[in-house]
Amino acid sequence: MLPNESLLNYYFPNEAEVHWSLMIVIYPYITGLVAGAFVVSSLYHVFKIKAFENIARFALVSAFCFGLFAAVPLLLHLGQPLRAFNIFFTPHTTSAMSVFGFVYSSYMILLMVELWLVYREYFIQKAKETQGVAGLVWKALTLGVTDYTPEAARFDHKLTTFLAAIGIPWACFLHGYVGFIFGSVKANAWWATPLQPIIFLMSAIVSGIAMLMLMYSFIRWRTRQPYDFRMIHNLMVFLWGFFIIDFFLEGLEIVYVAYEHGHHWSVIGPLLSGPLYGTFLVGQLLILSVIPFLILGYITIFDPWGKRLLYLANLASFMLVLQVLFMRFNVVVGGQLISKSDRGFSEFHFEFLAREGVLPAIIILSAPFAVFYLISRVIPILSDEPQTEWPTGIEDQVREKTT
Amino acid sequence: MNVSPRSHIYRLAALLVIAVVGFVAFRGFAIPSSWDFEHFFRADSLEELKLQPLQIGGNESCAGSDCHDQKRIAEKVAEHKEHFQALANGNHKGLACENCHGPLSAHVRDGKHHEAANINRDNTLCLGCHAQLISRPEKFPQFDNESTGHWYFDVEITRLCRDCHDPHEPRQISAKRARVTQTSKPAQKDDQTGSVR
Repeated sequence: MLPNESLLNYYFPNEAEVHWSLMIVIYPYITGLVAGAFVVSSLYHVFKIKAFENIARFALVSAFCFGLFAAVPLLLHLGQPLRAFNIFFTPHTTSAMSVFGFVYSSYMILLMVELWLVYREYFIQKAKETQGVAGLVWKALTLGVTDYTPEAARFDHKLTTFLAAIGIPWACFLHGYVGFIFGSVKANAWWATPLQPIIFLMSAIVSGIAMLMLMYSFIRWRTRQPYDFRMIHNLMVFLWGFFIIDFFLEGLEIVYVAYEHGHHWSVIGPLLSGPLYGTFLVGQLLILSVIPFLILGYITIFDPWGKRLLYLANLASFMLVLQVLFMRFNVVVGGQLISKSDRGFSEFHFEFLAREGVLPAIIILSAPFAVFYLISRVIPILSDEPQTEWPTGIEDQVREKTT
Repeated sequence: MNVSPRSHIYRLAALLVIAVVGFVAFRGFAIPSSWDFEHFFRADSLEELKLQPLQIGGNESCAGSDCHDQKRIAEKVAEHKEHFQALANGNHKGLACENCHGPLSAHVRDGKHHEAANINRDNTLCLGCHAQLISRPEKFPQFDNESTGHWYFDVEITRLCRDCHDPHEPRQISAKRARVTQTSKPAQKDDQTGSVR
């Protein structure tokens, strides 16, 4: 089916190539992971949700690792590394993209300061214990202040809470901007909706929480440490909550356009039943949304425990991580498949070794995990003492069932 | 000595101030002196572009030059004048000589003849604009072997355009040449209408 009942797949010659390709797909994906992971750390630091105490630092370090690589896809896409900083030197105030440079860098500074405050006690301890060059590095990290008094600790705690609090709107700003860039393209029926920033934000939080869950399980499995099931359960409850909003908004966007049945639908309808049928309707909406939605609902309502919780949580998280990746692909690439003539669709071809191919995308997506691993060799990220308490009764019931 | 519980924050703040000052200083160094903040471009770049070696001369450099006035190429002078005349008044008046004949820099270097201007006699250049393409405006002339003239002379797309059309003024059809190459075409009956085509 073609748009506007066109008899011929008509598109202009300059639309044959999709210019915003995989790099622009993974760029909002990585920024989303930053925002999502930061929200989890803020749930403990700002909203005092005790269950996430043990993963607050882990979430913060993860957000930092993802943040380090958020702009790399752009660098590869634009291909002028020597001009990368020009956007900071001569920013144009009417350009949303130049505003991003400042939002992103200030957010990274905020993240680093918060991380520094959280790890200051450890830096001081290491500075006192270690000699030689390593000792100097630890000392440099303490900025020369090697006393950790209770007053200083209290002050650090207050400041961390404050930074985490302003970090939430800042993270929303960072990721809402990405949706804004797409949502404000009025000429593209698939992008132009004021819902776009909120959809991007919600899916960012979903992908961040789901990715943390996967990373947490992997680290615990590799290091043969016990799992904190209470934390996993709570994390999945939050994931479900955020995903309900995300899924609802994604659906709302389509239902609204379909119900209005206006000129946008004349293009979006054929787009969804044509080029995006597999990746959007079947992939993103049907398989990767409905199944995790049901699994998370089951976890929330029926409180599974032990291995069952672990497997279900990981399955749902893995599907949601993919769901958000599919969503980015469907938005970024899908929008560009629509011809400006509104009479046809172009095609997207995956490249593998090209500068914006699948291999560079895999390398960039793997890089944050490599950095995370390196950081984890130097500083303790996950606490080794899991909290396994559970509301009285339920744990016993579950144990009875399993034995 | 009593250390203030905020001393590390003061140091961090000092570090941030140094970073900001460093950024501002580097920014001052990095922004080109001729940067135009109103139009967002480096004003000097215009002058630098002017200094680049000339590649494209434009029609004026061909029409206005006295290169072809020398006696030994008197014939060429007349031919060129004819072409300029045709180009200036015909349907191809929007085209530049160098569109088809290559850039001036390849033909003339340091004021002297370097190599002959490019003359491509096959259909590549013509079909670059006149091949049938749905995205072209409907009234724009596109090759059609069913059009009256092409059908009459049995012209297929493989036939050289310039056999009949003068590239400088394509509407000026060399009827004499066309007639010579015309194949004897019998009148056909249209199957559907029964009329004689």
